[in-house]
Amino acid sequence: MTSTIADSSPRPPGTYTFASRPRPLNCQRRRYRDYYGSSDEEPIRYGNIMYDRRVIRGNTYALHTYPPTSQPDPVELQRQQEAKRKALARKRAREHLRPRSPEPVEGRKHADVQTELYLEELADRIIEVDMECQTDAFLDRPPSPLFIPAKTGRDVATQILEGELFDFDIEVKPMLEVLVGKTIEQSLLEVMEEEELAELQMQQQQFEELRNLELAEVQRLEEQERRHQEEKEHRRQQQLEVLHKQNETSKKIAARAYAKMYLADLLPSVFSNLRDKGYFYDPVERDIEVGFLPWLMHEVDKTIEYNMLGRIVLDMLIREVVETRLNMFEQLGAKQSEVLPDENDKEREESLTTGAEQFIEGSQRSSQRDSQWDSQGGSLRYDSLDSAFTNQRESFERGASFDP
Amino acid sequence: MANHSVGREGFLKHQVILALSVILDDPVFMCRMHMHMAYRSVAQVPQGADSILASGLIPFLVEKLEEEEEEIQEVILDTLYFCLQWDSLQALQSNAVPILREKLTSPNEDIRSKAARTLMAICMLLDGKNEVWRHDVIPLLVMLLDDPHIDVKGNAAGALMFATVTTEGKYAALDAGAIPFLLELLDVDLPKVRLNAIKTLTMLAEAPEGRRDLLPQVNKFKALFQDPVLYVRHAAQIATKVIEWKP
Repeated sequence: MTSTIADSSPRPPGTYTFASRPRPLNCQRRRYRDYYGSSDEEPIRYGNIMYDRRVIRGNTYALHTYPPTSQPDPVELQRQQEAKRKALARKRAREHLRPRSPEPVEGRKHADVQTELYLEELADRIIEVDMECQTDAFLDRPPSPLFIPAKTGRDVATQILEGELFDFDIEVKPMLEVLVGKTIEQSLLEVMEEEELAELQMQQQQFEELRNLELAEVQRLEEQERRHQEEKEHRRQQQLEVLHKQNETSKKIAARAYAKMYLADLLPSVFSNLRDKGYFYDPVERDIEVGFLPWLMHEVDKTIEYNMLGRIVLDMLIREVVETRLNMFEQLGAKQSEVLPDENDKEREESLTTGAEQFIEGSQRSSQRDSQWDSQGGSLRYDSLDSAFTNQRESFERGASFDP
Repeated sequence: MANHSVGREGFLKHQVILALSVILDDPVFMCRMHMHMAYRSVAQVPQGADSILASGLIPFLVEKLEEEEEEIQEVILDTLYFCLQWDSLQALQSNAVPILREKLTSPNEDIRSKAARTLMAICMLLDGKNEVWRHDVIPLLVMLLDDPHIDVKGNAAGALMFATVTTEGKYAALDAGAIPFLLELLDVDLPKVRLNAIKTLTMLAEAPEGRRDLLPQVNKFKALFQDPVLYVRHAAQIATKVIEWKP
């Protein structure tokens, strides 16, 4: 674990520095079987630095320090090559100097031969020997032995003889008293506190019960009150309603009585009114009145018309006759007047004319009277007309009787 | 430290509650246990309960209730009991009632009794009462009245006491047949159980059906007039008054 120490001094760029705390290096070699749960508990195995091959020993002044660059220096390379060549040359020189047997003659070859007594079989097979090597299986790490530190210090011993020491029983008494006394006091206090607490609890409980009780009572009374109020309200409402209804009923009755009384007259008066106006009629009578009498009158009218017509015709006849007679008389008169004085003519003329006027008047009156025809007085009028006519006739006859 | 009131005030001053809440998820059991015990002690004081509510821890506590081991569950139930007496809105929002309902059926009797106590706390407020009725917890509580363990009976009676204040609660309890169980509870030694039972019967006697069922049993209440505990006598008197009330 490297920890870089912060460098406060400014360093020139490009310089490499490295610093780390001293730490033991982890030894990778395990001697015992790894098992779970052992990683954290045992101390980290570290290698002894004295036996570490990575550590440089001895003279460090003339070491081959490898430059930091990866590529070897060309000078170094050359030197290495030279060294190699020299070594090779030396080896060859040594070989050269070694005494050897002379070279074989042409066509012959040196061969190695066994010259011992007992010949050994030389096989081309190389003698092989199988060697095995096996590491021991990983054992469990045995538990660390108890660390019993070596004895240090000096042994000292004392010996107490009888009677030299104090008497335990006597000495211990006051202390014991104090101890026990304190303990008992403490425990008494605690017990009393607990008792007090218990008492308090009980009182609290009682109080609570009482409170609950009272609360329940209050709520019950409240509820009761509320119900009573509701009930009263309800009853009151009912009463009000009853009263109201009664009121209404009495008003209705009064109104009814009054209306009845008012209308009691109404019906007879209405009936009498109607009767007066002629809305109630006897159908037969009505029928007679509507149908029969007009026809009767009409017929009567017609008859009288005819009568009248006849009379008018008669009147006209008479008038004509009278006029002719008048003319005749006038002519006669004119003839006679030559003989008689004029007064008679005048009288005659006057009487004639008056007679004629009377006659004409009478006929006019009769025609007027015709127009005044009334159904009820029909016969009376008829008589009057008749009398009028007879008067005319009399006057006419008077006039006519003037005729000599 | 939280056992002493000075310590509690110190807690509140230094917002220790929030800091402790980080430990809620701590893997070490003892750590969480002690933290919950500290919370329980803090919650016993109203201010402490307020600050726990204010820091929004209730939903976490309710979650933890489901997941944690039983011992811690007991402590959490205690803490919740103290906190929920004040404001049960957060708990209701975080769906506490069904979880507590399950706990009522747990095999551990301590958990049952504490769960019943916490339900009692929830029922103290009106919202809680309605929620409890809506989740059909009342029949379970009535069943618990028959539990062999006395503490469970007492706490179940207490929870019923509050849950039956509303009319729906009353009728739910009557339908589940609570009256015979409660009458048995009147004879129990522990005064808390008697008190709760009397109060619950008083609630039920407000309803006409309850009154009808309890009228023949009035003598039992009259016998309680001689009870040594003062409050039991009071409660018995109130109960007889309610039972014999004529509209």
